[in-house]
Amino acid sequence: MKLETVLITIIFFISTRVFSQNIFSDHHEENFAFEVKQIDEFIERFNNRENTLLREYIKTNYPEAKIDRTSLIKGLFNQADTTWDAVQLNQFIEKVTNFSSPAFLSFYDKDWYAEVDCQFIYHGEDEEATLILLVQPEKDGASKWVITSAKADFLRLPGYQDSTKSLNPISHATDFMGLDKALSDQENLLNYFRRDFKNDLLTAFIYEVKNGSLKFKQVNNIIYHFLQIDGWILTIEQFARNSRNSGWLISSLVKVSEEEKRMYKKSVLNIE
Amino acid sequence: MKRQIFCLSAILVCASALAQDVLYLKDGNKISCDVAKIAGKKLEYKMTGSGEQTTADLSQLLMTFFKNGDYLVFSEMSDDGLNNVTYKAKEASGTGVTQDIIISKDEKVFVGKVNAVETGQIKYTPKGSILAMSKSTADVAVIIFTSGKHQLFTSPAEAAPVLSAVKSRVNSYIAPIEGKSETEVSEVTPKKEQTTAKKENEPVKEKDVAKEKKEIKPEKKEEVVKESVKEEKTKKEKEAEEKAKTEKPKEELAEEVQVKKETIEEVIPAKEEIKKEEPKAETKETVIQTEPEEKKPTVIKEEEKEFAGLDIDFEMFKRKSLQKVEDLGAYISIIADKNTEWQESNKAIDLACTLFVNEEANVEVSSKGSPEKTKYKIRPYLNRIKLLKYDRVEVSWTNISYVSDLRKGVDGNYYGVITLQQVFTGFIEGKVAYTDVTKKNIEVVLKGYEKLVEGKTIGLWDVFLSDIGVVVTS
Repeated sequence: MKLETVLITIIFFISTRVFSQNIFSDHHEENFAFEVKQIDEFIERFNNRENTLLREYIKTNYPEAKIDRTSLIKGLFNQADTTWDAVQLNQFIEKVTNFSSPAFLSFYDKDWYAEVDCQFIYHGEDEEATLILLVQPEKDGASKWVITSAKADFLRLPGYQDSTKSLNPISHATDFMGLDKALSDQENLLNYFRRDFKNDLLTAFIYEVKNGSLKFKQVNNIIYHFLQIDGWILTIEQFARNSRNSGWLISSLVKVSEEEKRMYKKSVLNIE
Repeated sequence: MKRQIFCLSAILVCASALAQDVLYLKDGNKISCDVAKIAGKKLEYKMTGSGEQTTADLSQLLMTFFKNGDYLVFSEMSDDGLNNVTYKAKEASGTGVTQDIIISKDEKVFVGKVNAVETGQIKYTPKGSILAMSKSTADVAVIIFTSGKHQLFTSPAEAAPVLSAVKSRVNSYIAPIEGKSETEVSEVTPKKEQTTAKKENEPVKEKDVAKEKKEIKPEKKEEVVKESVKEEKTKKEKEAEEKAKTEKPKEELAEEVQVKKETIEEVIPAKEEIKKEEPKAETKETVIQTEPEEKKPTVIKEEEKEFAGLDIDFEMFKRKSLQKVEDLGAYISIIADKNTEWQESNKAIDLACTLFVNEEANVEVSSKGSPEKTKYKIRPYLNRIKLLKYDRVEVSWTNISYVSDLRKGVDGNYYGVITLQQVFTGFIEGKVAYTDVTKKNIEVVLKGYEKLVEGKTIGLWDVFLSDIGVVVTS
C-alpha cells in the first residue's frame, strides 16, 4: 500500500477522533454515511448518480475503493436476510445494469407506491388502517403525494349472514315500507345491495374522516412498492440499525409477469 | 469580565499591529505596508517604517488586506483576472466595515459584534440579536473588525480560498469609503466565485437572525455549461472505452455479477480488506451508466441553477438550510441553559420560531431506549426545552448530512429534506447527565418572493424549517 494512502487513512481517523463528540464515534459517522437515509438516496444510489454524499465520503476516506453501479445496487439489499435467491438477484442486477437497456428509477415514475400503516382513533378506539399513496404530477412542474387506496378492516361491511333476509319482490307494492327494517338490519346489510356492489374502502375512509369519526394518530410503518421495472416487483423498507447496511433497503424482490403484477396491485395494494 | 477586557485588549494590541495594508505572500511572508497602486498585474507599495517604494508581481501574492477591512485574493484569480485588477489609494479616514465579520473555515459568514476572543472561543452577538453566541476559533478562518483590522485564525494559504469564496457576501458589509480607494474588481475574472456578486438573496423575515448570513451566488452559468459539456464528452468517451473493454461473453458477465445468498457485498469492502488491497493504476471509476433525465415535474438538482425566475442554486440551498439547522441548535442550547434569563429564553424561542415556515411545524421527539415518538408543535416543544432539568444543554449536529433534491409543491414552494444526526448532551453540575444521538429528518421549505430593487422586481428566495421527524434506531 502506498505510504500516502496510509497517511491519509491515519489522518482521517485522527481527525474524526479529535473533532467528534465522545458519543459519536467514527463508527457512527461511517454507518450514517453508508445508511440509505431517504428514498431519494435509494433512488440516487440505484441510478449510480454522481456527486452524492456516499461517493464523496468514499472518495475522501477510501480513495482506492472503486464504486460501480452493481456494487451500489448490491448494497441496497437487506443483507441481514439470508434467504435471498441468488439466481434471481443476479438476474435482476443483470437486467437493471444491462449495457444496452439499463433500468433506472425516478421519483416521478408512475408505478411505485407507499404503503403506510397508520394508527387511527375510530369512535374513541385505536384502529389500524393502511393507506396506499402515490406521487401525482400537477401543473407547472409541481407534484404531490395522494392517497390512492385504503385498507381498513374496521371499515369493511359484514359479509352475508342470512341470505333469506331481503327486500321481497313485492316491496314496491307497499311503497318500499320494508326499507325501514332492511336498513336497520346491520348484520345482513349487504343483502339489500346489488350483487356486484363493491365495498369501496377509500370512499368509506373519506366519509369517516370527513364526519370526524376517524382521527389520525400516527404512522407505524412504511413499505414502498416499486413496480416500475419491467418483470420485477421490489419492496423497500426501513432497517433502522447501527450498521453500514441500514436505512431504506430492498426487503423483497419478486420476478413477475404483467398479469402477476396486476394481481399484486389488486391484492396487496387494493388498486384495481 | 476582567478576563474579557484582557482578551479584548489583546485583540486590539494584536490587531493594531495589523493597522496597515497587509500583503500575504505565497512564500509565507507577510508585509505591512501602504498599497499605492495595483495595475498591470503589479502592486506598488510603500514599506511601513522605511517608506521604501517597492513593486510586487501579483502572481507572488496570496492576498492583500486593506486598511478599511476590504481585501483582494489574488491566488484565486485567473491570469485575466489579475490583469484586470486596478487600485489606487486615496486619502480618507474611517473604515467601510459596518459589522464585525466572522468568516468560518466552511465558508460561512457571521456578522455582529465580537465581544471577546478567549482561548479557543470567539464570543459575539449576532446582528439584530441580544443574545451572545460563541464559536470555536478552530472553526474560524478570519475576523474582520469594524476598525478595518483583521485577525487570521489559520494559515494565510488556507484562509485565501475561503476569503475568495465568501467575497460577494462580505462585500455587503464593507461599504465603499468615498475618497478612500478605487478598487475595480468588477472586471476581474475569478477562478471561483469572488466577483460573481449580482444580487444577494435575502431572507423574507426581518427579524430572522439568519438574514445576516448572506449566501454565495452560484457559479457563472457559462462555466457550468462548459463543464457539463466537457463532462458529457468525457463520459461518452469513457463509455465507448468501457464498452470496448467490458464487452464479454454473456456467461462471463453472468459470472461477474454472481451474488451468493450469504455474502451480498456491501458497497465497498471492509476497512481491513481495503488496507490489504494493492494500489491500482486505475483508481477512478468509469461510470458506464448515468441517471436518466428527470421527467416532467420540477426537481432542483445541483446541475439546475434557475427555475421559475428564481436563481436557485442547490449548493446555496444546502448551505442556507444547514445554517438554519445550526441556528436552531444554538437557540435550543440558549433556551435550555439554566443561566439564561427567563426573558432571554423567551426571546430565543421567538427567534427560533422565525426559523420555521410557521408555528404549525411539528417536532417529533424520542427518548433513548424507547421506540415511542411524541409530536409537539414547535413553540410548545421549545417551551418544554426551557423546563428541562439540566443546567446546560449542548445540541450539535454531526458533520455529515444528506440533503434531498428539491421538489416543487402545488403551492409553488419547493420542498426538500435534510437528514442528519443530532448530538444532545445535558449537563448537571458540570457533568454529563444525559446524552444521545438521534437521526432527524428535517423538512425544509424554499419560498420565493419578489423584491423591488432599483425599480426592478427581482425574484428572491429563502429557506425555512418545517416538520422535524426522528428516526428511532434499534
